[in-house]
Amino acid sequence: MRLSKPRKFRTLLVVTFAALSVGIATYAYAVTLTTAREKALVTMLVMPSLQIEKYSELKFRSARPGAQAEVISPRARGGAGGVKVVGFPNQAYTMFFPQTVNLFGTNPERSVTVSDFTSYPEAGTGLLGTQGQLENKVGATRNELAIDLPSGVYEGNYTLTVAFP
Amino acid sequence: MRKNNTLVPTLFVGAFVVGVALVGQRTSQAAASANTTANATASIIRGITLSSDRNLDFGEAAQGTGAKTILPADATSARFLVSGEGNHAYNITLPATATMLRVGGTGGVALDEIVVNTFASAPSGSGTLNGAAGGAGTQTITVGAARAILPFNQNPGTYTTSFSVTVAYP
Repeated sequence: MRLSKPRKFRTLLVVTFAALSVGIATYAYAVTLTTAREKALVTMLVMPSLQIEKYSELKFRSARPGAQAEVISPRARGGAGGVKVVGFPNQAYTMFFPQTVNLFGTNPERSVTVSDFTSYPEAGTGLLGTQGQLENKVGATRNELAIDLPSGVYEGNYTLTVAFP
Repeated sequence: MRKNNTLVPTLFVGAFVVGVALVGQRTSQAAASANTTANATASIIRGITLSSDRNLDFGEAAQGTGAKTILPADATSARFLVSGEGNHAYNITLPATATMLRVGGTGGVALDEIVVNTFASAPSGSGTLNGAAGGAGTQTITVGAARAILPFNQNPGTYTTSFSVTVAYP
């Protein structure tokens, strides 16, 4: 079968284009086979810093010199201290209390010792609520008073620490 | 008319001359060439592929927390699986940096972004697929990185981005 010149030219163009396409596709396939790329995610959660706000003082009752120790339960209606912890919803935390705190009056050489701090919920590791808040009640034990303890008001500070576990 | 009469013989003679010349060239080429046989060989190896197996997780941190580095050997590093020709070397390319964006945050706002850099992998730079040549081979790549310090006013929330790892036969 003999083709006219224009048809020959068109046929040549088609064959050339097809060959070029096959070549490009082969090259691309070869490049694909010798190189591979993949993605992965990198993630993290940024939580707000924990904040503690005191809303009530730990307050022992009045007592006479030589009085027995007084224990304030964190669940007691009166006397227990209270703090509010604010953070991230369902955030884990760890709470620490001091071992002992001394309360002082006018005479810096005489003090009243407070120890055995307790809390409700209990100290240690816990979770903040779904609102990212927790109200924590604090109790402690006021040790036995010395028989010669001068009368007056005795005060001191205790430090409650809340941290990420 | 005269011109036409001379044109035909002239073309004929010209074509004859060209034909003779071509035949002569072919003859001379044949006389000056020799044939031999050589083998052409090609080794076809398996293409290299890469799949993600585990994401890079910096976990949780509070505002104001210092920088943190995850080593390739750490449990929260990213993990990839390379597959290809057994006992064949390949190169690993890691990104220089990536920027995590807070979900719901605004790109370009510093307090909505956390920069991740110092990407490192194990194996580092290059690896060799296990298995014998001619068979299939695989190898696991783990990737760690470092994240920047978190300012005290870094916006809380979940931060994420993607990064690419490339493997290639040398």
